[in-house]
Amino acid sequence: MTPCSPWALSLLTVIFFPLFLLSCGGGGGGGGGSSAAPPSAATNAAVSLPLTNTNNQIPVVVEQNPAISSVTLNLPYVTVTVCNKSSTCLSIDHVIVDTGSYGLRVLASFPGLSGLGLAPVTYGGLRVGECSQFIDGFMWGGVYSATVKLAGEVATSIPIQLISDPNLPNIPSTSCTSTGGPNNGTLSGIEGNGLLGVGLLAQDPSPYYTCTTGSGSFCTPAPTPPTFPITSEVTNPVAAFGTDNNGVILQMPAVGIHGQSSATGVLTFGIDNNADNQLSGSSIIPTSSNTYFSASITGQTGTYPTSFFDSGSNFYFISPLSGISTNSSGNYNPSTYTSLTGTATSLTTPSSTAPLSFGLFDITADLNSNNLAFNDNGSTTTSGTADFGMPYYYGHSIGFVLSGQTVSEGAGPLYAIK
Amino acid sequence: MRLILTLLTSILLFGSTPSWSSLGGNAQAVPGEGSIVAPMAFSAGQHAFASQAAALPRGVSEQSIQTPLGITVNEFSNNGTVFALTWSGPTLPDQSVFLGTYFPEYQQALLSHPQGPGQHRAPVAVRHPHLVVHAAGHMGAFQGSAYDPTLVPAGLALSSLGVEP
Repeated sequence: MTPCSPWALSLLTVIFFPLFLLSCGGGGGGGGGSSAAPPSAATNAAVSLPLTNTNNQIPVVVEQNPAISSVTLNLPYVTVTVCNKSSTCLSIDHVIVDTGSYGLRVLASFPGLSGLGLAPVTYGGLRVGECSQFIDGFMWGGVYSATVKLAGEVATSIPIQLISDPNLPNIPSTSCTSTGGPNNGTLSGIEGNGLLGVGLLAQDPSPYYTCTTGSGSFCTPAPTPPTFPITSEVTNPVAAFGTDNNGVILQMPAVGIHGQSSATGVLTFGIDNNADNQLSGSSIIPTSSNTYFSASITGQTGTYPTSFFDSGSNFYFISPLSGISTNSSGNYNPSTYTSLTGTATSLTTPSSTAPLSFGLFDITADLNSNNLAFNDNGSTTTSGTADFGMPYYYGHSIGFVLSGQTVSEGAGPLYAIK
Repeated sequence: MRLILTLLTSILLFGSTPSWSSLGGNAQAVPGEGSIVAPMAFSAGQHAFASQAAALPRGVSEQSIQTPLGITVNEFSNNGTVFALTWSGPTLPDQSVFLGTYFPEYQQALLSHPQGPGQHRAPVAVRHPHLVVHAAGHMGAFQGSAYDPTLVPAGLALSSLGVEP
């Protein structure tokens, strides 16, 4: 393996260009080069956690997606089974587990999916379209009824979104393109075949539309709930399972500060009803209705009142962090691993707290070693926000009790942090 | 109330949404929401900041708008011209409305991935000479702020308005 393999290079050149020159231009070996990082001890190895129950657990794999030419950094992939009303099913690989969104959305172009002939969800006799909103862009597509299977769990006939649906080719302006973000509804935009939203809410509150179909299709905003039935909104499959439907736990193996070439963790369905989903040892943080808590970080002034755990964010996005250097892309790049501790405080009354621990490091050199599972890559963001993204999950277990569900530790929405 | 009556009257008379107010525009106008039929409702009327912070220049005021999708947008104006916005809500605001003439620049900035294409679900940070935007959050919970640095009153601390400098 050369120090700067083509796929590592592609990411380096676009994100870390200034440092790329440093780390590759020096002709050093092993992945260290002449960057400011200490000599790399990258193990470049795969790490994994075993499943203990195949009925309510699925493996979550951070790996290079072979369908993607760029580095699929810290993207947690699962395989999802989607079935039509005739129980004809299709496995869809490389769907990203996203604890920051709600519901299943997959590319309409995924091979074999159109052949399932999923039934469109309608309102007032018209097809329902959705503009699923993410902070850095949107995904447009129709809403269809499908049965979703994960391990032994079944969500029967729930609304899912088919991204870039050829039946609804015209993207509306209102609340969609007019939000300003790009259309991320492509294989390269997602870097996967879809998103499995298993976060704290049961429904995706993004804007919905009623649409005519075909080349002249036209969509107008649908009414908001309760006029528009929430049962027609894209639904978190976990909330629709027959059992194990009150939440999930996402746990990833520990990784070294130089990252790993792949990491396999476990997504467990249900809370407190099986041996594998007990919250003992976890600190409980009930969230506000909009799923936030307040974080504080030792040595930093002020708090981060809009904080959340989001496996769909592949970096930590935390600002401000005074005293930690950044590169020209706004990525934190301390030359030695920087440990950080803090406290999560609920925004509820009475408040509860949980300890937080994580780290930041300049991963530029380690990308040369084909590593892509990192617990220490971070970037700046809007002041007051701490998005504990995928890096946080390595060596941690984060539980999510859904809004509307209650367990012995408290009422959802809540995070269980370990 | 007078503003609401004006709004309703304009809808009744002309059957369309009234003129838009947006960044750099006239604070007295009420933003339209494209094809959304429901009119804006004001969650709070206009109020001056003078009593809140004596350090604020005279003429700075705030107008709060609630969109039909539950987004709260606060527009800050100086002598009638909107120089800054903040927003929060379960969906993203129609920035073509609230950023107005700045929207194409914003759209272009997001297309070019200001923080790098290797990042996913990454927050937004745009720093241009005439437009600064910060936005963060995740599905169901978004917040952000925008301003034109050339329109901000001298001596005003943007952070005191909840606007990220």
